[in-house]
Amino acid sequence: MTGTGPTVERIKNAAKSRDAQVLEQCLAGAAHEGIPAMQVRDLLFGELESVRKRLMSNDTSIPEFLLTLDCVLDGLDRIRSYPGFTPRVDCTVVIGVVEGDPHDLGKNVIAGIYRACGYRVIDLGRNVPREAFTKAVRDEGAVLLALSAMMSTTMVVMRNIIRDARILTPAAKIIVGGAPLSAELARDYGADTYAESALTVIEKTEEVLAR
Amino acid sequence: MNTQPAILSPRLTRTFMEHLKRRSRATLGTGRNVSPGAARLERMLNEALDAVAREVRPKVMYRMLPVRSLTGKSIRTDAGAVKSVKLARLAQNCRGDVFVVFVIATLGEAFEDLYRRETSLSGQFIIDAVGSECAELVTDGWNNKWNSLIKRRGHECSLRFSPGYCDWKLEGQTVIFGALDADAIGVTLTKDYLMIPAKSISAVALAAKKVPAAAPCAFCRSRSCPWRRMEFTGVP
Repeated sequence: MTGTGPTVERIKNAAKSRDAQVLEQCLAGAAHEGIPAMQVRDLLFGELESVRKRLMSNDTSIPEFLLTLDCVLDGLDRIRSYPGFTPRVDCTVVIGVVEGDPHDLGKNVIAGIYRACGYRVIDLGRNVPREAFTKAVRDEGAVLLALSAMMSTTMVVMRNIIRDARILTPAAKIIVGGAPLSAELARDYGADTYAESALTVIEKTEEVLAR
Repeated sequence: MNTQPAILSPRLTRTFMEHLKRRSRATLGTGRNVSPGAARLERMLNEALDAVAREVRPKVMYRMLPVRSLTGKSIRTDAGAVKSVKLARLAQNCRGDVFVVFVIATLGEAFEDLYRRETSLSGQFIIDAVGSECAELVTDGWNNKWNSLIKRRGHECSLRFSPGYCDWKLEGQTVIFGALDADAIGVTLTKDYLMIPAKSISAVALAAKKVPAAAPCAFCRSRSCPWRRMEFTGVP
């Protein structure tokens, strides 16, 4: 069953206007009218994708994108308990900022994007000790380890974390990102891939998980 | 010339906050009022600015030390050596006694609390951008005051330089923290040379009777440098 009525239109419009409060009311209406949770999920994701593409072509600003992301995350949290809801992907990601680095904004955005795209996210926070990454990957059965560093002095510890992961959790893929990194450095550190921004992280992730 | 450390507590005046709003808008790329979230973002920006004005009390600490010796690679003071070939070259071409002024400016722990209290990603992004601009403006404000003071004493001053930029490695933080007891303004340096609270700026500037250029960019040929602050003039 697929809903096509005014509530669906209102959900689309609320997502487009990044209005979490209106969206909340619409989602309550959707549940009442029996609109499938999966349809709502895809509507929300579709809007996020549309704004992401607009940002990639410089047609919108980063705050606008983040406003949409907040709205979509809020909506997904609300429909998660609806009957028939399943996430878009069935994968767990462990993410964190490496030890010594207090900058977590970039990591928070990436974690938000992963959640919006349906990944189960284990967010270890910032200034995370080396051993905590592999422990979380093992304990949570994660398929992906995402490491972030914002300073040239802290990014170097990624090499050790990646070395640990290759030995202790060899099946997990590793993605790295952050201001001082590059594709070349990521390769040098032994990561599977490098995401230069929040806009490309999902494509890079899908690419590396498909290998 | 005074070499004792001094602490300032600059006020976030209405003029300062208006300037901060303009700068924050420019950084965020908002304020054009054409996007679906424009009104909401403007409201969030205003809330962030109000919170900063209400809760943040910036501090600036500075101290001037005479240059003890100059090599082609570093500028030696009683607090340690500033190891930058570019800056050393600028110092070598100053006239009269040369001084290094060390400065640390911070928005303090109150700003960190503001950031931590914000749970939405868009809100975090906005408050972070406001904080970065605020720290820059506070340091600019000190810079302007310092330049006027130095000028009155018949000296000139260079622009400020921070470790981690140009050829001055981040390890250079230890010289600045050696010159200033930053604990007095609540700033600490981690083993990775990062400052806590994060919205802090550390820098040095040169002062002398005659400083040949505001920045070593004047005689640096690296034209593609993203941090270039002035045109190449070939000076000195």
